[in-house]
Amino acid sequence: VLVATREGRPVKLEGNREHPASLGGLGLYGQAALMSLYDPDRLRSPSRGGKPSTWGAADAEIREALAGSAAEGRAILVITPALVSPSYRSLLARFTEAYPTARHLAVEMFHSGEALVGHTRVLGARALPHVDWGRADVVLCVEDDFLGSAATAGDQLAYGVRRCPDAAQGMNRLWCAEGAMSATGSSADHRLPVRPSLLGKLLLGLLHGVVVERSMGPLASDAEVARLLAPYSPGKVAREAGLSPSSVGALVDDLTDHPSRSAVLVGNTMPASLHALGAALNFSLGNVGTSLGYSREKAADVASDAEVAGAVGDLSSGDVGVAIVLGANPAYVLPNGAAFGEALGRAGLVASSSMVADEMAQAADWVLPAAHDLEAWGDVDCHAGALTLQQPTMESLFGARQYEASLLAWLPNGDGPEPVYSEFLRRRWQEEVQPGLASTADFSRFWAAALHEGFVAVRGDTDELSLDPDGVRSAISEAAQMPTGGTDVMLAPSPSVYDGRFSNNGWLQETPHPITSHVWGNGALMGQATAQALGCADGDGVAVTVGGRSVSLPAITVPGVPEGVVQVSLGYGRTHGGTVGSGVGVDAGRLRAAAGRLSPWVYTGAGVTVGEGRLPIARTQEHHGLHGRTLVVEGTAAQYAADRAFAQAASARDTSASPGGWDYATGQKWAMAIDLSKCTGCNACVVACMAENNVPVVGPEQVARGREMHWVRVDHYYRGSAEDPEGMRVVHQPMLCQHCDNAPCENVCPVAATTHSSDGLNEMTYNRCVGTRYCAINCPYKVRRFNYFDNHEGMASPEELRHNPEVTVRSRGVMEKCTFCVQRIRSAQQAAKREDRALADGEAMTACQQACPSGAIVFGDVNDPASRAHALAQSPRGYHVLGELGVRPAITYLAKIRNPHPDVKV
Amino acid sequence: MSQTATPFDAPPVMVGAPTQAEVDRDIAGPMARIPGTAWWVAIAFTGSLMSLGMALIGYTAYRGIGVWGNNSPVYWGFGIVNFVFWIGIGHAGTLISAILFLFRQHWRNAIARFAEAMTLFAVMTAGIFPLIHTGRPWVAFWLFPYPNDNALWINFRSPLAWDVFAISTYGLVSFMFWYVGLIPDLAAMRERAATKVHRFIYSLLSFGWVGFSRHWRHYERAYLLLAGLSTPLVVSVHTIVSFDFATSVIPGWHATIFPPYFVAGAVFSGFAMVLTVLIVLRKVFHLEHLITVRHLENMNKVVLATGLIVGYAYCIELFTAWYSGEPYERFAFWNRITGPYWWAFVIMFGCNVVVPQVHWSRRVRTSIPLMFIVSLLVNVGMWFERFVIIVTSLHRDFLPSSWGMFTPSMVDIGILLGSFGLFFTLLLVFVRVLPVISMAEVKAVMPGAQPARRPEADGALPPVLEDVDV
Repeated sequence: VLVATREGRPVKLEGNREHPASLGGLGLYGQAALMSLYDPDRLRSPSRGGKPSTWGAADAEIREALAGSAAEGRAILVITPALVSPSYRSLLARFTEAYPTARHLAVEMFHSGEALVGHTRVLGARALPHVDWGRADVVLCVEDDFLGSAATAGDQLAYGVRRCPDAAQGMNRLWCAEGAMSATGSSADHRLPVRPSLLGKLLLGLLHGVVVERSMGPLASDAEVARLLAPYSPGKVAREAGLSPSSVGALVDDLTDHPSRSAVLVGNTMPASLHALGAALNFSLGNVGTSLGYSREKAADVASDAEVAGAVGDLSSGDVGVAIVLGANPAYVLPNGAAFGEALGRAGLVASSSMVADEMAQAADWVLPAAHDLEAWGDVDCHAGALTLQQPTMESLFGARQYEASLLAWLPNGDGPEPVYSEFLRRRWQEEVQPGLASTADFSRFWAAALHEGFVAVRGDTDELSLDPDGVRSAISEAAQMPTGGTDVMLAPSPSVYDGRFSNNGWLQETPHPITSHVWGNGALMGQATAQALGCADGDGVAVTVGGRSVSLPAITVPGVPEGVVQVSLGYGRTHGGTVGSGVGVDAGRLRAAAGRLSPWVYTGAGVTVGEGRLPIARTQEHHGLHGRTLVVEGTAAQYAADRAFAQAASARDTSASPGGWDYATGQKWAMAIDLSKCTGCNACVVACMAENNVPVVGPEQVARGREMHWVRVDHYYRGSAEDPEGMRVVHQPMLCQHCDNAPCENVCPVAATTHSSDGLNEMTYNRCVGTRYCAINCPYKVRRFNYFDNHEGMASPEELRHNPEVTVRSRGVMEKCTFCVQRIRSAQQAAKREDRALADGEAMTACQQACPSGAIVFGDVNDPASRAHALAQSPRGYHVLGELGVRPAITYLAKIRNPHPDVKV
Repeated sequence: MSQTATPFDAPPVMVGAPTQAEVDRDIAGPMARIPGTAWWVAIAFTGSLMSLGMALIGYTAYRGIGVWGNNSPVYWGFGIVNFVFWIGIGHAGTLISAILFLFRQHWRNAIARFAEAMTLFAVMTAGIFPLIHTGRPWVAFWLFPYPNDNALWINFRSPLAWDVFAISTYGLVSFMFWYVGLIPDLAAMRERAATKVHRFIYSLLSFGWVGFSRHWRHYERAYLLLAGLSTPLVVSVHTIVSFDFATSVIPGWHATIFPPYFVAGAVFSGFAMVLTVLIVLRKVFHLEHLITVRHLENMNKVVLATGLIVGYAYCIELFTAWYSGEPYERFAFWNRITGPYWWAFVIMFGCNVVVPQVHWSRRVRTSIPLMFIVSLLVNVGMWFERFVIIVTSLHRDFLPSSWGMFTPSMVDIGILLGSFGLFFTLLLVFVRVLPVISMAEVKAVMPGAQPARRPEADGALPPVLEDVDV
């Protein structure tokens, strides 16, 4: 990421355009990092048993305890999250070498453990797939939310390139088989709603179609595989899974018609056997080495249940001398976290380092303030062919120390000088990284270049692997025997707070769920059929029971979910999540029991009952029907090919002369184009806007009263009938101030607080606003936001530091709304003026455009015939929302084009 | 009234033939006495409500509009509903005192003063709301065009700016009209004053009126001119208030029928409120002989007539929405009837259109208890009319994504009650310190007060000595 700083303080994060995993995009978690950096709940100093102390005292006691334990042969536990930093892993190796009794446990709520097990079974290596989006014409994703909670910006951007019907390589086609409606499913060309316990059968059917019927791939000659697959013809599994046989048949055709040009992706929450079957499909379709590759996972395995149980046993018997917890919070993350925390209390000395006093800190002797990533050195190896180097952007607040530095400080170093982690990192890069890259440059130059770029390119790390038919056979048997019954419960990462690590982040808590628009909490997401069978409406409390463990959640109906599926987000119900995060939502993590378990996150045979009263749900959007209104124009690729201007026929557009006599003949005229084909509803724009424009967080009670302050929101509309989950579609439409040339808000303001600029911006003068709210009433798009209260009241230090100094913080009683990031426009204009040149296209970018990981938003000067905004404003796909009102909006929406298979009726 | 009564003659405007002294005594007498328990109980009650309202207004100013139920998309809630309701109440007073005066409806003399006072108090009550509903009431004066260092001017294209002029003009003219009419009576009060203090105050207020012909002449001219000035205001004020809605783009608001519809509605609600209060007042102050059933019946006829206009407007709105074929308009009105606020529509339609139909019956029109109930229901219905127009139109407009619901907060309800408290407190003070019926004007329509009726002139006016040189 790139970080903008002012007076030594980071004020905005953006993606690194050169980095292959970002390509300039940055998802909502990255955008929201500032909020966590300036969290007023951050620990202020090391403390021992609740009493403030010093790092010196902490280090002395911990080092002594470590030395004591090592001498006595008592165990030392180091508990961390999954480590993506090679230098951190190397440091940890050094630590366990120095203290031979030390044991490392990586704990995560969501991880790729099942995927690694599955791939190991068929590939003989701990490997994970990665897709070449440019080559993948057909993508099948099985419960893989790669455009939503599992997204990386680089994947999203590369995928998004081919969502444009005019793309040079043609549009790709996305098939999505899933239980609950995900962001990915809502963007798919075909969505196959299947309960997760039947997804295995569906993959068997596909394998049958590819291997047995079409005799494709290395397994085609394997009689045993053919025998095992015999009972699973595509038509039969389709009927069993409640899908239309023609859709599944078309999917088989589509995959086999694009040999070496497709990709099958299986989500991390799926059981190992499904990952194995996914790999078998990819090998059979000839994708491996062309549209998809496998690379070995470098990070260590996350601790298995047995390892955790072993650690608990050691702790209970008092065999553990020192337990060090570095930002892992096992007391919340593990299924039986509370018990683990309790057992941990029996260790001789417990040191926990975290940013806020979390659940783990309650059980620790030493509680140590941890540095934020923006205050820390580090490196990251991702699979996109880049080794990322991270440098701090500011000195740590409150003397916080990064985890690696603590570990380094606790190494026995005799009387040597206090070790510095940045030195350790630099030395490792000098000794291991540079030689590995065969770089001959002087190291200081190499290091400076890496720091400047933020990464070094490394060899494409695709590994040559082959398919083991034995593994496939066992996976087939396992998938065939997968139990199904009762209700399938799927535990998913929250699209807002992930696994709870972002609980104390108000921006993320107030980020709406990409389908249900739910904020500040989780619910039991179910289809209309399930809700009808239960007789419950949205907001009715239901008890979800898995293996005798039960949680009460508000029911929320979601379109396109088959009967018998309930999805619940984890990451809520934290007891010590900080001022903001504690007590938000319900901790569904305790449902992770043994009964009916298909994977740690998927359970079958669960029960759902009503009768828990009403539970409040706060949603930013309560109505998801279009009521026959032409707000979203959709079409198919075939329709677009036949009539490129179909979108314009579907919606009215005012083409009369500019009202008010202003013709924008000279200078700039700012405008935006939003491609609905690319938008996945990921909300990165929403959070980026909040960070850029100091948009306040109002909390669940105010959201429930309709007083959220988002300047840009993503509207979700459901299309289709509840009786036909397969035909159900969700469309996302980013909605922000349209900067109308004939703005209805401007003429009604009695004090002229909102006016039009000569370059086409609808401007808001906060100082002049009296707060009659008439402008907001007369806005047909309802994008204006009123400060009903002083939304910045009671802000605790250092929270005020996160404000963008270029943007006014609005007081109570005034109206506010999207400005098209006027501060960015003006600073780009000033830079151009200083250099005495014309402003180039793309120099002035809005924050939402910059963040969009799909490249759906294009902003620019439509008076510049060479600009992309100009080209898109003229696009035949372009239309104006509510164009018939004659308000002449400056935002052109490009119709959503889906690319359905010609054999499937949509 | 010496001729024989014909069927075309208006019935008498008072019962019996009180002497002028009796009129003075009946009207001014109660003010000289220490108020009775009933008055104290009443003002304690209304004063408490008013204080509650004022405290909640203070709380709103301190915390922000967030303590109300307003939200997005219902940015206007009770504040504007109450504003339009109270402005509407005022219209009856001006209509009675100005328009009926110009039309020489001399039955209006007995009720004009009171109705005019009601206008003033209603405008005062209404005027609070645009101020307190702003996000930053301490800068609300920016709505007035005044010279300032920043050379900032108001936006003359905004209907809210028009409102500022309309309401302030209306308030000012109403006050002048009312005050000019009061001057002869204030002088009479001065003469009747029991204490020096009273005498001093009434002397000041009566501007030295001693009843010279010249005084009368100036008075008559001024009164006539102000009546002429007030008459267009009856139409203009609510027309301009309706522009707040009619000039917007919101389905359900954007309608050309709004100005006449609003004016009729205002007169309708104003007469209902005058009736509600007068029925109580004439009973309590024993003024049944001056405010007769005929007065009440006439007002009931106005209620029926304006109620029919309002009913027509409701129906034509629905028809236009259907006939336009415009999906947003159609939805707005369909939602008004069948949406979550259907009950508000039912209350509005029932109270404003169905209930007043009973006034076709003379028996109901002249029955005090029945007309009292009707007037109360019309008041309720007209408050809900504004609620329906504002809340149900706003809560579901163009983009379904931004639809919402409006639920008033306790503060909203408290301020609504407080506005009634303020209005009735002002009325209760008024009936104690100023004559509720214009003594001078009533005397002018007493039997025998006028010269014998000539064919070319009606005798509604007090004697005017046209040929006196000034």
